[in-house]
Amino acid sequence: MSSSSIRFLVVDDFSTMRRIIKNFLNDLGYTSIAEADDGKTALPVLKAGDVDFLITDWNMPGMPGLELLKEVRGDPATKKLPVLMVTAEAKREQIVEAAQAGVNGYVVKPFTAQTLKEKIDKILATQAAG
Amino acid sequence: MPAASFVPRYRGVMAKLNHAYAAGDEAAFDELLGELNSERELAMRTGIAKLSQSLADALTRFQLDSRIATLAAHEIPDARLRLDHVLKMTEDAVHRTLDLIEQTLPLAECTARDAHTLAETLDDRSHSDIRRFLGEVQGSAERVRKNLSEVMLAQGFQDLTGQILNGVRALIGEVESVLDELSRISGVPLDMATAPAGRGLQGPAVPGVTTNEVVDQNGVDDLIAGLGI
Repeated sequence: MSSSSIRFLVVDDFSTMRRIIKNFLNDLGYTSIAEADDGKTALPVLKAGDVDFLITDWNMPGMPGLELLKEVRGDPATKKLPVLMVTAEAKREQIVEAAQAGVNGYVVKPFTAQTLKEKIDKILATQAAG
Repeated sequence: MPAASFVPRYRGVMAKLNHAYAAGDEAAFDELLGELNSERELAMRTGIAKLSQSLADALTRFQLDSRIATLAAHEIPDARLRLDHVLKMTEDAVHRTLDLIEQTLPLAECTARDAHTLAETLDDRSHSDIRRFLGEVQGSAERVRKNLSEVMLAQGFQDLTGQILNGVRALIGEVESVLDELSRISGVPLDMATAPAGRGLQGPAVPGVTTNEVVDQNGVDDLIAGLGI
């Protein structure tokens, strides 16, 4: 799969943050980007199998990102999906919890363009190698 | 209850209770258990009486304090509306900023690309001043593009401030419902019409909160003109 054809799903309850990440991904050359405002609305999109890379916030009403991550890992169809958490939650035990739930990368808000790019590239490189 | 009073208070009855138990005297044992129970009930009743008195005092103070009524009826709901307004304003401002960035980024990209293409078409021996100018245009347009990308990422502040404000808003909502409950128990009506108006917060007009305010420049102009200025 060529890098630009990767289909992203960006999940965040703040429309401004979704827009920022979407613009940023466009800037990196990715053009297929879907959005959802919490885990509940993200799940049907994920189940439909239209997503290659999930970027999710943690703190969201409805279904938070950690629960979404657990759902993704619990479903055989999506258990290997790359998941990058982009969140303001920065407590040590939260990061450990996300890691134990199977997150592939963790970016703390506010983030720089370089950090976000690095984490996405690293996950994609690991996927390609695996 | 201080631990020191525990042993002497129960020593006598415990000795009798042990004795009745050892002797297999059921009637005496039951009677002594009854004594123990009433001892405990008395302590509990005294405690409850003290608690009721404190509650009655607190409710009386609450009834007397019109400041609390004002807080509950006016200022807490106002604070909530003000926060809602701040959330909405910052969100709108960020979307507006992102709109402009999305419109401007392609212009900068296009300018840089065109300046580069045009410079390539000029031959080396002439137009050196134009080529230098085109090089500068390309460099500037690329910097504009880079800076706009940074401005875009900086808009992420609204997510963070918004989450914090949402937390404060939830807290205010809880305080509001506690005050409502307190007013219901104490019988103080939290009627917006009867509670004295609050001191009010100064600052920008907030729709649904501030009244008697001229909210936009057209309104200000009309009023000023109406005053003959």
